[in-house]
Amino acid sequence: MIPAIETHNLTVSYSKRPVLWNVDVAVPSGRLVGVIGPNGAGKSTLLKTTMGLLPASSGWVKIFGKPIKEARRRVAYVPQRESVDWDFPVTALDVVLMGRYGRLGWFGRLKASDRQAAQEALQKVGMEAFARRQISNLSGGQQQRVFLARALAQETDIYLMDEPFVGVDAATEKAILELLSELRERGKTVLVVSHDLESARRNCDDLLLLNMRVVAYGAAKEVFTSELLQKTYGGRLTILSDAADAVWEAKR
Amino acid sequence: MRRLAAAAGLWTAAALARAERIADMDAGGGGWVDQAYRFLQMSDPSVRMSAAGSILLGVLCGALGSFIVLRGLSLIGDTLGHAVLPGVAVGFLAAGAKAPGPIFIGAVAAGAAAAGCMSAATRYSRVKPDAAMGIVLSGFFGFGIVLLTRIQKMPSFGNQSGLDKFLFGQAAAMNAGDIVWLAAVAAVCLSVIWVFFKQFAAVSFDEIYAHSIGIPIRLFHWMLMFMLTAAVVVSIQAAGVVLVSAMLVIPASTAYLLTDRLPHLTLMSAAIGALSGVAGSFISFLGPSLPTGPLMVLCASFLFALAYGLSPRHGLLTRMMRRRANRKRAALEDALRGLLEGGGAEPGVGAALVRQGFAQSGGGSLNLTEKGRARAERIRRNRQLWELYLTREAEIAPDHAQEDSEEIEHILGTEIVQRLEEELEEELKKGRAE
Repeated sequence: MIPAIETHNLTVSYSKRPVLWNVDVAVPSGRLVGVIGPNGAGKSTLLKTTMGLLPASSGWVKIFGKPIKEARRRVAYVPQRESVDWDFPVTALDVVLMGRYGRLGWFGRLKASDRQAAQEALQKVGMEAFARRQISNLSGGQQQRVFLARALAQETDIYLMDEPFVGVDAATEKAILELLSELRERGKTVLVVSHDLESARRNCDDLLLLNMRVVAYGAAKEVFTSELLQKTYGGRLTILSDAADAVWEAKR
Repeated sequence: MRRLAAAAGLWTAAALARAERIADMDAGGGGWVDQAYRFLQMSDPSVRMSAAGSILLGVLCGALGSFIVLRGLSLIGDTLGHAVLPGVAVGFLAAGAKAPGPIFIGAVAAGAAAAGCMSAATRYSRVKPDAAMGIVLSGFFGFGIVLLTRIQKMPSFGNQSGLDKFLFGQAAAMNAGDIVWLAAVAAVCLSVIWVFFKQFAAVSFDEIYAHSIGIPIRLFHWMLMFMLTAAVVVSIQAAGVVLVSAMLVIPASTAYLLTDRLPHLTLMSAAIGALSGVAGSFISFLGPSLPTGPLMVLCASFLFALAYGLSPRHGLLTRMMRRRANRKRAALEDALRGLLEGGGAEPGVGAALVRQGFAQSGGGSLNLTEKGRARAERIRRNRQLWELYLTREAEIAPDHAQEDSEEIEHILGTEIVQRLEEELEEELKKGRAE
């Protein structure tokens, strides 16, 4: 079967310093995958590169066997909440409607069916009562749900979520987890970046342990071992302290 | 169809204003009352021209400005405004006269060069964007002033070149050709905004996401930059290079204070721009030595100040009134709680309680009504909830918690109270059991 997401030899760098090294991953369709790793491990970069938002220095990404440019309609991306200005003059519904813009093409206008889909997406995240609210009047958790609803409105097969659990209340966390399992039941593929290791182990089918390179990818119960976690979270620290030592030496 | 109609409307406005070379307004005799009458009559072709010009300018800059302000590009408008000046001078020299076509081409080229210099400076050196803008703005502007001064000293043009109007703007100095260019640029830009409104909205709100759904973000960015340059170029005649960016920034910022919906913001910004434009050209028409550009900007600033003070949602007055209402409510709630616990109430507050049906006066003292008792009990319960939350969940010492709750208990909305109830459900049950 063709994997939902496949990367081969993927290397991504910012101003010559590599952030991702030779990443080879094949995510089968219908899996709920947690992406975990320390800060600066390249988790967001992996999502953005998969989405074609950052160029790869080498290697490739394929979505159902096709380059992202031909498969955009099959992937929805949920950026980090801090990436936008929440004072922007739009309502929650306006934001969710943007999820339909991709299907409208250059000149299309929103139709009743688009509004219907947006309303349903808001309902799925329990935000229908807030549809007409300007987005700065929402709590952090509600804002995150609006972002998720926008992705749902795209009606895609793959969802890439960048840290949806950061800064949300308990109710939103529960709502997101329910949504994730519902998506899995409907055969969708989800990649979710998370900092909560315990929750990732409990709720995800697979885990991708990332620290600039893939430390491990596999079923959650198999790769969630102290040895592999040590490798994921320990490696960077030694490099960092070595580098810090070198800087200190150079300045002396 | 509506798009076409809008474009046709703009062209009609330009055609209305089409007339012979404009009279020199500064020489207009008579007092300001006569001049005001002349302006309002609109029979004078030169008046029609400057009115049409300033309305078109206001609508164009206002509509574009809404995106400029939301994307945090306000300073780019200022930079472009200054940077097109050498292009204006070169266009003038090439044509040998103040011809709108060559001047437009020269100015757009200078604007594009400035934009190129800015992105090159930030990309290939460690210069920060704001510094790059400062360098390009002053460098191009300095060059433009040198060229302009030279032209005005040339025997073949002398002081008749009319280029001095570009610095501070003179709506009355626009001729029919200028208006046609202004109308054409406005028609194109407004149509582009109309057709691609959803793309511009998505790119302005969340560029990364817009990219992820396949909107070509770089194309739309450069489209906006190009429209911005063109708008600045056709507007400097009336508004002046120094202040044209104000017409991009101020009406849009005013509208931003007044509405929470993007389409309304764009429309409102265009309307405020048109109003400021026509008001500015009206006042400048009233007497000699009243430059249009600065007056337009003053009118726009005045409207901004009004919105800042009086906006129903974000205005100063609203905030003051809300604070006063809160204080009043706090006094009322304190009195209600006092009555519930067997105390009295200050005469002023007591009268208010009676007026609102929370209490009845009988036998020299106040008694809570049914409604008043219910309200007072709710207030007491909210206060207890909050104190419980502070001491149990936030682990704040009880005596401190009491002080805090005095101030905050009146501000808690029903939403927060509901969440408190959910979180403290267990604690409340325990408390009752004890």
